[in-house]
Formats: sequence, C-alpha cells, structure tokens
Amino acid sequence: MTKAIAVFVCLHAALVAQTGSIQGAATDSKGKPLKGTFVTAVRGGLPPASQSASTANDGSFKIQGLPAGTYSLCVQVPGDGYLDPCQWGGTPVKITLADGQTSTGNTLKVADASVLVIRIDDPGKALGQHTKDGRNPHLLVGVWSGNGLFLPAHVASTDAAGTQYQVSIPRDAALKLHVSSRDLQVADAGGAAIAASTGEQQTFQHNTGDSNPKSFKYTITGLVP
Amino acid sequence: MTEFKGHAARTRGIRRRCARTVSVMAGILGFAFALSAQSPPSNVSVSPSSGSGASQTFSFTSSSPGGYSHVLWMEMLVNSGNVAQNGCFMAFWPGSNTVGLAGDDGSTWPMTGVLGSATPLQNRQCRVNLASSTVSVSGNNVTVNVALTFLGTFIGSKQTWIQTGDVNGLAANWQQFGTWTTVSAQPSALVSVTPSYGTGMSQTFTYVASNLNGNNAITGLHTVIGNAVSDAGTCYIYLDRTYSVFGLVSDTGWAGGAQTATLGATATLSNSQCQLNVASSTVTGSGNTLTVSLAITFKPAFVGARNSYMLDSDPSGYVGWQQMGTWSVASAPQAPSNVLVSPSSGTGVSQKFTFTSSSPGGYPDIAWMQMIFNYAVDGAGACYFYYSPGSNTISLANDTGSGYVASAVIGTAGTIENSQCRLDAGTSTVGKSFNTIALGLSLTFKAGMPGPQNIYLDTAGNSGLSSGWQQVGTWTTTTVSSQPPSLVSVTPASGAGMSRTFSYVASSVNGGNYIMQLHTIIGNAISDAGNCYVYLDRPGNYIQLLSDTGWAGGAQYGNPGAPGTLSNSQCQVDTGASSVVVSGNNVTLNLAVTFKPAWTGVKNTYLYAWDRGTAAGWGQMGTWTVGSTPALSITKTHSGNFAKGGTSTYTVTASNAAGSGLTNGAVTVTEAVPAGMTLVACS
Repeated sequence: MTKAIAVFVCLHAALVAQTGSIQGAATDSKGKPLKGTFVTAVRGGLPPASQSASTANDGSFKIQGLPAGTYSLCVQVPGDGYLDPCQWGGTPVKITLADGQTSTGNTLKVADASVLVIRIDDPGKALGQHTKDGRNPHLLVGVWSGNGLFLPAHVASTDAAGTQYQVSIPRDAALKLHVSSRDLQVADAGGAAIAASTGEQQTFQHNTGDSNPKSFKYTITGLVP
Repeated sequence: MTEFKGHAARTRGIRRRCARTVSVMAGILGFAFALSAQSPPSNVSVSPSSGSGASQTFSFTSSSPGGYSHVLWMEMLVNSGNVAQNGCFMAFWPGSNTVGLAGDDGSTWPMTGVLGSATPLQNRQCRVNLASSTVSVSGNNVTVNVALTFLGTFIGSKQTWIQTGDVNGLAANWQQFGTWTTVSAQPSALVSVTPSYGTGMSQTFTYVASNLNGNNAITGLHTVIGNAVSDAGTCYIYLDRTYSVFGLVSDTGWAGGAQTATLGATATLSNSQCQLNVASSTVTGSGNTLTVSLAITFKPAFVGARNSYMLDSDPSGYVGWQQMGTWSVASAPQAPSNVLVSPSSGTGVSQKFTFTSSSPGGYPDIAWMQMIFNYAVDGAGACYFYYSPGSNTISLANDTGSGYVASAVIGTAGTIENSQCRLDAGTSTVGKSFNTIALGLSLTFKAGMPGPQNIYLDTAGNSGLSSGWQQVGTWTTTTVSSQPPSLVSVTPASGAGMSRTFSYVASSVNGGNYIMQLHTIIGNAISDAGNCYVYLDRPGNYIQLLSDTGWAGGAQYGNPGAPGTLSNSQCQVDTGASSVVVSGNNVTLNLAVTFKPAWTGVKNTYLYAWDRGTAAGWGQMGTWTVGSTPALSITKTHSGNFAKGGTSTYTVTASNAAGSGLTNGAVTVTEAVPAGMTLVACS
C-alpha cells in the first residue's frame, strides 16, 4: 500500500505542471517608475490563462501562477495618461515561459497618452432614472481606434450637473469619438440632437503640442419617450 | 415587575426535589401537605388554555391563602402528559424572580435565570425567553408570564400543567389546565451579508439571519471570508450566543484554537488573515431577525479576491454554509477577468454562446464586456459586440469596425446584424450572481464570416481597468474552400521615384479576412536580405521591415495607421501613412515607402500571400526605378522696358534643381509669345 501511494505521488508530481512567474518594472517613457500600475500577463492561444499584479513604489512587479506559454504583458495605469499596449494595437512585450520558469528583468516602458474628456451634462438627472422596462439608461461613450477596436470611456467623476468620462488616447492619430444612446435624448455642444439609432461619431486628432486634455461636451435633454 | 425580596427560599434541596419526575414529586409534596395545619396553595390557571403555535407566552397563575408572598415555588409543565422527561418542564421561584428549566431528563435544573435576562434557557424541547418573560401579583395570586418557543421535534398535542408550593411546605399537586398543539421549530434562514461585494482592506460586514421561532432561536453564527469554506487560512469569525462571545479561528483552523472576546469588550481578535474589532462589532436581535455586524480589517498578506460565506446554528441543527457574497481584499480597485465562453469550440452556423466574466468587486463592478469573433482581435470584418450590463444593452459593430450598426436589449425580441453575423436578442440571456455575469448570445453566422474563427473576450470594471483581450475559444462557422489566395496587383506597377505609396492587393475566395499575411519585396530578387522587405501580420496588426541582413538580423515593428517609421539601408516605411483595407475578397496593403539615396536603380516588386492554410507563392508584380525625380522649373526674365514699335529681349530659362534626378530624353519648352508682340528672333 505504501509503495502504491509512493508511486502515485511520483506520478502526480510528474503530471502536475509547475507554474512560472514574470518579474520586472514599469516605467514611463522617461524611465520614471510607475507605482500602482496593473500589469497583466495574457497568454496567447488556448486554453486561456492570465494573471495580474500591481507595481510597487519602485515600479517593480511580480506576476505568479503562470502556466507555460507565451504571454503578452499589458500595462494599465489608473488615472489615465498612459497607453496600454494591448488596447491600442501596440506591440506589447512578449515573454515565453517554460514550466516553472521565472523571467526577470523585464522593463515595461509605457507610452504617454493624451486624455480625452467627454463631459455629459445631465440637468434633468435622466441618467439616474430608469427606462420604461426598468433598465438603467443606455449611454455609450468611447473612441474607435484606427485598428477596428472600440475603447470605451470610463466615468472619471460625477457631480450635480453631470458626468465626466475619460479615456487615454494616442497623440497624432486620427480617431473617432462615439456617443450614442437608445434611451436618452442627447444633444451635442451646438445643441443638435444626435441620432438615437447610430449615435454621433466625430473624427478628431490630438496632436503633439495640443493642449491637454482634448474635450467634448454633450447634454442629456431627457429620456426617450 | 414585582420583586419577592425576603423569600429566598429557593434552597438547593427544593430545587433538586422539584426536578424529579412529576410522579415522584407528587408523592413527596403530598406528604408535606398532610403535615400542615394551614391551608395549602392552589393552582389557578394557565392562559391561554388552548391553541397552537411554535412560540407562545403562557400565563401560569398560582395562589396562596396567606397572600401571594406565601407562594414559594411554582412548577410548570408543557408535555404530552404529566411527565417531566423530554418535556418543557419549568420552575419559578418568586422570591428570587428566577426561572429554571429542567434538562431533557427532567431530573435537574441545569439552567436558571432571572426574569428579564437576555440569555434564554433552552433544552431540546423548548426555549424560555427570559427577556420577554414577566411576573405580576394580585391579591393572593402570582402570575408568571413565560415566553416559550418550542423546538426541534417537540411537536403535536401537549398539555399544560401547574404545581404550587408555599413557604409552609404545603403544595397543590399537579393539575392540567389546558392543551397546546406545538408546531415544528423552523430552521434558521441565512438572509444576507451587506455589502455582498466590494473592495477594501477594512469593512464592517452586516450578516442577517432569521428564524420563525424568533431570533433567539439562532444560537450561533459563523462567517468565513476566504477562497473556500475552510477553518484554516481564512478569516473565520463566529458568534456564540450561549456564551455571548465572538471568536476568531486560528490560522491553522480549529486545531489551533480560537481567540474569543465577550461581546462589547474593548478587544481585537487577530490571525494572519484579518482582525476583528470587537468593540465596534454588534449583535442585535429583533423579532425573528438576528443582525450581526463585524468590523473587520484585513491583513496585507490576505490581498486577493475572496468569497464570503455564512452558517448559523439553532436547535434544529446547522444551516449549511452558503456563499453570500464576494469581497476583494485590496486597497484599490482590481481589474475584472474573463472566465470562459461556452461552448469554447465547435462547428455550426447557429449557436448560443455564453460568455462569463467576473470582477473581484462583484458583478455590478463590471462596466462592459466586449467579444469578437474573427481571425484576430480586429473589429473589422468581425462579429464584434459591446455589452453594457447596467442598461442590459448590446451593440454590434459595423463591417469596418468603425461604428455600430445597431443596439438591442438582451431578452427583448429583435435582431441586429452586419455582414458577418446576426444576433437574436430575444433568445439571448443574461445571468448575474455575486461577482459574475454570464451573457448568452444567440448567434447566426453569415456568408461574410466563413471558416474557423477565434473567440475573444475583454471585460472592464467601473474604474476603467480591463482584463485585456484574451482568446477564450475557437469556432468554425462554415466549410471553406481550399483554394489558395491569389495575387492581384501592385499599384503602381511601374514608375520611378524616391518616394511612393504602393498598394498591394491579394484575394481569397473565402473573403479578404481569410488572408493572414502579406509579404512584399522591392529589390533585385526574392530575398530577405539587402532589400526593402515588408511583412504584414494581420492577426497581430503589425508590419515589419526586415533588417539589411533579412530575418536573421531581425526586423523593426510598427502598426498600420500609427505614427512611426521603420528603416533599413534600402528604404523607410511611414507606418502612419500606411494602411490595411479589407473589402470583399480582397485585402489591400497601402505601404508608404521612401527609398534611400544610395539604393538607386531598377527594382522588381514582389508579393506573397498566405491565408489560414495555403499560400500564393511569390510573384513579380511590377518594376520600380529607384532614383531621384527631376525637379523642373521655368522662369522668364527681361531687361529694359517694352515700347510699342520697339524691340526688346526676354529670356525663358528651364532648369532642373541641383541634386534632382536626370530627365529622361528631350525636354521641350514651348513659349507662346504674348498678344501684341511679334517674335523677331530666338536663340
């Protein structure tokens, strides 16, 4: 019996793959450490695997629990102002790990970004109401990148007059701002109502040297009857 | 409340005697009565005299001719007959305002308490809720109002009895005064934990449980915050209402013991996972509801996504562990994660796919989910969705990945479609639980999306942090042709210059999206070294310019449409001015190239295409002369004034700017003499 258990343990150890880790540091384009940054290792192909870690004050990170494979390192800096190479069609750092391998010394230099601000005034507090079928009102705000992907803006702040959305964008690139709602009546800065079905798309570009942030403004005039 | 001070005749001997079986006691007390010359006490009433229920306050009334103060003890029984064992057998000593409850064997008084006390008395048959029990006197009568809850299997038709003893040792023997039908005690219900999700290193969690027999029926409540229901390596906190203490189980579980502190004490309980601030933690019972608030601070080593579990106990047993919520032990928001798609592989034109995402901060923290069916993370030519859980709305991208064709509400009849797929919103579903959202999409793939596809998922939280795009599955929509791609053209097919945007076109009968790679060479031969060799990788959405030494020397990367330049000794590629366009069966690479001055001469243009399994081999598509182009200019000059009838001279000068390319053949300059002038001579 003891022998059988020993054999099983050996087989088990042989069959269970060891996980590896990736270590390194995240910096801005000038080499300054970025603390509190989320570094996510995403394995390409199947089955999917990913793990995340937050950088320390010196920008260092250690991502553990990674099965063997080739990982793209995505970098998200809370608060906007930097580009995640995984979200903007960039070329994220790729690391290939064997079983149980530790990869060290990986420096992730995060590109600076412009910040796009979309101000949504809501004098009637329509966003806080419900639709006739009991849902929160639909409001889609974000940017179409040049590579066919939609980058949703996130809520940066809310005040008595409305909500401010933000999203980090690359400079010197032609982009499309998208604002649409199937439940809200929305007007652009000129007072023109945007189409309920397809919304509004504005082509814009934030060039190097332009004042930051780039901003747009819309106003919610009510719920769709 | 009337106090019976001065009549502390509750001797241990009486208590023992009273706790014997009823039949034995009746004999002993009857003997005492016979020795007394005074009038004995009497049993008066039990109210209500009949009824049914799991909880009831009974009023037992006894009397003494010598006045109520002569009543020394009262014994009260609720049972199937005049039997103490396995009954609800109680005693009341007016002198000390104390109630006793016999054990299940009916032979001892292991539990006593003063009326009004918070701690109930309890055996397997009933619970005496002292906090709700009172006494009153009137004339010769003493009435004790006992709040009872019947427990466990103590159900069915019962009788109510009284026996009374006085200070003279006289007694009124057992008398039945009524009946009562007890109903089954109810197990406790785990109601909620608040908050049931969220993020933080410190939080007061409020757990609520209830019991139809009153909150006092809940004798204990246990909570675990951890990855699983385990006593080891978790934040396991319990409330023991019998002893009025909180406990925190050790790192190694029950085997390592637990720290305890009395409710309300100025104390902290601590293990390696968490710390409980006892003074800030509370227990509140109201009606059927027990509310326990635990002020917990997590340890840094315990950071991570955790589940919140709860269990409580009552005389009917334990209510099993239930997951009540999730909690992200962290000092800042955490990114959600993509969990899976089901099915993750297969074949078919129509299929319902369920995408599951989770967030450590609970499902309300999931701001959006995006999913793509395509060869890569590319919204062009894809079946590409954006889902907003808050509005339960889904949007489908257009064919070019540059806008939305339409939106729909999940579960509401309607369809939205592009050239690749159609979504039936009416049969699509969404489920939300704790920290996960499961979105079921009913899809039909169309002719614009042939063959094998990858399935990608990306999920973001309200903070804006996202999981990142991740492949979660594969799906083959239809069978595809095995015909390899074909090379269509390079535009311009010929010409000369130092700078030009070349358009390379390849085609596939399975659609342009089926083509994965284009390789282009401008050079003297098909070689990766010493040429202007550019490679387009569509799944990666990047272009590479190979080094002077070819693949062996590496390459420079860039993304079409993104500002940047790639350079070797032969040429430079402006990535920002380059682009990729898919239209129908064609894919076009527009490549903005500037040649290096030292690399002049006549070159060939080559193209190679590869789809998801077959290739169109290298083909020469044209020629290009790399050289500087002429920079011609023409000027007119003259000296002196032009006078009518006079003769003047003006000079026409054609020139090619210094450093520009040579002209090819004759350069013809035509000068039209202005009206009113006549050409005299030309040299």
